[in-house]
Amino acid sequence: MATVTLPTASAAPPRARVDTRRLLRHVGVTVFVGVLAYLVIAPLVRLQSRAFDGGYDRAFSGPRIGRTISYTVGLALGSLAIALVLGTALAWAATRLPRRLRFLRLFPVLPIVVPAIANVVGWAFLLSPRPGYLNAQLRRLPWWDHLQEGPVDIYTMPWIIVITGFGLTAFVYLFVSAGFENISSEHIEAAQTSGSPPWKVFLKVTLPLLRPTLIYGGGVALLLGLGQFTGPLLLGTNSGISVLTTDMYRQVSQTPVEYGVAAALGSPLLVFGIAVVLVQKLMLGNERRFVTHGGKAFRSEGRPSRLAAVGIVVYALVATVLPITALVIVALSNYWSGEIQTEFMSLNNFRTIFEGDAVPTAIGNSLRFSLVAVAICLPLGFVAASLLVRGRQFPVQRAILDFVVSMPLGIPAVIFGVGFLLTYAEGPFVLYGTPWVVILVYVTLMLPFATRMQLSALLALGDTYSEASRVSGAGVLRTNLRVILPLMRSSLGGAAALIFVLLTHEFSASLLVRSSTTQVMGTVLFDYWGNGGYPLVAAVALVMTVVTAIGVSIAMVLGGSESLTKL
Amino acid sequence: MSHVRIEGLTKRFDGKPPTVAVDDLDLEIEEGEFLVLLGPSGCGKTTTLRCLAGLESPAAGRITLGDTVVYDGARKVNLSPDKRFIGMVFQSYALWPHMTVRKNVAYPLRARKMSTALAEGWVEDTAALVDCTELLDRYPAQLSGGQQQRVALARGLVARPDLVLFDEPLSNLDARLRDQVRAELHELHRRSPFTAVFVTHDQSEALALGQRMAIMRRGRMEQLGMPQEVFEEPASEYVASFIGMSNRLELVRTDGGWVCAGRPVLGAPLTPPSAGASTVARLRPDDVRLVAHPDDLGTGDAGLPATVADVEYGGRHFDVMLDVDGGPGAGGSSSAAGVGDAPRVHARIPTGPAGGWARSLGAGDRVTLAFDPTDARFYAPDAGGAAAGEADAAATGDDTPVGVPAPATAGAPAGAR
Repeated sequence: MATVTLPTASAAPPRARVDTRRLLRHVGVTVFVGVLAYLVIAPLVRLQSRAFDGGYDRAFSGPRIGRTISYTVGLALGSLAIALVLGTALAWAATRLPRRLRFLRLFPVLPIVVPAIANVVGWAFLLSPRPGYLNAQLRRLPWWDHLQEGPVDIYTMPWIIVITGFGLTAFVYLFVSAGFENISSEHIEAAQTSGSPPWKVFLKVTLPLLRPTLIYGGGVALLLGLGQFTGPLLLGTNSGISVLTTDMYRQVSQTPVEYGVAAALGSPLLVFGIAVVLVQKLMLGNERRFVTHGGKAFRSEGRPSRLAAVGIVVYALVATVLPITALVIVALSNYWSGEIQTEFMSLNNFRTIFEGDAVPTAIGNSLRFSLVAVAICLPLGFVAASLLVRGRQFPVQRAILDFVVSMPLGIPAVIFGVGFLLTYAEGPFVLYGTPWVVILVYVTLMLPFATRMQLSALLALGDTYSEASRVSGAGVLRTNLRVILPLMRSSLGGAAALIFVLLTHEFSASLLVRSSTTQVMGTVLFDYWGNGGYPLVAAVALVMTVVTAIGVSIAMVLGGSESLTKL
Repeated sequence: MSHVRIEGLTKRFDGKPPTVAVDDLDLEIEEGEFLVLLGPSGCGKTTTLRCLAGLESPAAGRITLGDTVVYDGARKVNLSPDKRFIGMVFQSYALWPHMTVRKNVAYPLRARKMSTALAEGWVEDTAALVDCTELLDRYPAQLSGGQQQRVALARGLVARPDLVLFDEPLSNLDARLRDQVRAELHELHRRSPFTAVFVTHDQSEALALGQRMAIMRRGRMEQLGMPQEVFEEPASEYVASFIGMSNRLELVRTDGGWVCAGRPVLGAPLTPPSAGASTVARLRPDDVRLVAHPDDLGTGDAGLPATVADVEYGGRHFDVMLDVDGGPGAGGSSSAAGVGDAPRVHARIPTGPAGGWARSLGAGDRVTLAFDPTDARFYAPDAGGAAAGEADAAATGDDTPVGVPAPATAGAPAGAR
């Protein structure tokens, strides 16, 4: 085929424009990073300026601050310990599931999917000292039959820790499962063929290889534990248990509103969060180092075990099914008592909430705010991830960006809630009372997820697909539209659905930035809880769970069954 | 298709320590020429290729593609890859899994808005050229490695670019398929020439495909020439060892002749071209023969007594590893007298009639290794040692550290013959 030798005209490129274009690109990148930095950092700066304006003095002089701090630390460490043990055990069990039962791997993640506030409410229905269903059953046991209430009191510190620990377990489970997948089966098999029994392989090879994962996952869980809000707020308020986050809420929800004190109370969490993020960045360094090549994925070492399946099912029953069952019972009952009276059950509560204005509006708000936030967040995350992966010519902007998009992961949502409330209630952008302040805080909270998920998708794709496109004559835009985005379609879909799910759950920040016209599902539920309308609370919590379940199903369809584990 | 010129190309990588991957490289590629860049990993060959593609930004120099200056460090011209009219074939093929073969192959034409070419059926023509016509409507995941490689080739060629770049495209194929695709690529280029730069670390690929080949070392060109020239007259010890002259004998001149490891070299006189007091001889395993006794040496042969360390059966040949018997001073470290460790020599003896005698060899047998001095190449010993180690390590598959600060180009040819 001599045609290959035909001379072809190659377009002479415009050289004069090269420099202007580079300048424009620099300006664009700087503006992008600047906007994100403003979004994330401005509220924190506002908080600090208030805190230094006398907030610190008042916050840390009272008699209760010492107890609050010790509760905060105790809650974080206690729930972290529970989460590390349970999460690792569950992840280990998940690797040993029989092939037919592989779908059970998803079960330990369910506590993330069930809205935290619904979960906490469900546990309260089960374990309240007097009318808790589980307590009522326990009192039938011969050695507890003399009790009038108890034996468990969920409104105490140990039980708040346990409930919080269940929630964090799912996160540790996700990290450790991913860690298992990064261990090549050959490492395990090498130990086995060297004569180690399975338990020794686990202790001497698997666990040491997991160490970085455990440290990383444990760090994240510790941060989450320090920032816990829902559990202590709903369960601890009446028994006088307060942590830093609930104290912050109290300072801005009671009159007189004390922004300075609230800001000062958040500072320890803020400092610790930023420190953890910084240390992580320094220790992990360049993300590219973690691109793993080839290698066989982790396969179960040893025979599949039925015990593993049983363990996972039992955990799922306790951590997820029990509280949801309690919600269902209460939602169908006229009032909440220790007795389950099936003959009086009805759908009256659902009728009540859907006939009223508040709940339908809140559901609509939740869906709308979440969708808009997803629509903003994904493109932002894509640009951020692309810059982090490819923007080697912008070292300064990239370092700032890397830090900015990681910060919301380390800082409790409550702090952002207070910060956004403060920032957007006054100039230059007065957004309080509009949906935009909620949407902006949602975008901020989800920036790390949107960026990280797309970052790992980009890293997994590697450079060659886009390089092949560039040398084929395609520009940046065409390469992204025709090659990168289609290849990332499933991870984009998964990311969108998961962010959506997390946002429909959102309670902590929403509670702070809401106004009477911008109620979302979580905040309406909280109001009912405060008014003591428990059957209505249960009904709202169930509705919230169903909305989430639909979102998760969509995520699984779009992103494949793996998308849950990609969190 | 056009002439390619590289002038003073330099590329550094920041790091600890900073490295120079390409060091002031000059190279010209003729129109329609197939040039192979050969060298161990870390020698800068892939970096050079990626600079040509625009995937790396060089630190200095100039690259001209046909009439277009695509990179000029002084004038701050650096065209992005899509502004250079090139094609590229990747080691991992990099076929986009979400597009059919047809879409993959058509992509360069669409991206460059070459709609007439599309209409004229260049996609189908190119697919036919690489024998992929029946694969056009499949997805890459449904193809075998060899088929994917051919599709990748089609995608690189379809736009009939000024320059086609190959980044070790055969190394992901298994051995048999590799030979087959290599033969097809060779035939394709000879039938319808295109300007190509082909990077590999496999000397047989380089010899077979290259019209010229460049041996690279530490970002510089060690030798540039036709495969035959390079193979027969390696310009330096580094090239010699990389091109298969794996046997290295350090020799010291004495009154009567040459000494290796403290033992005089028997038989025919060695003829290194330079008059130095010491030299290094390089020999291919195929050029080493074995005789039972020094008296059996042929007339033109030089010889050294040796002990068999191991014999491997290789089908058509035996691989015999020999320890040259050390003299009085052997076994110690290199001394001023040039008495080094007793060298190990690899002899490849055909299993045919000539090797009949070798069939009975076993470890510990004492033999005499024989070679024709005209088969050996001689190099100055000093700086060559380091170079030889580097290339030997690379040739056996070890990674050489990238861009270790290079000494002045070593191994200036002591000449040959």
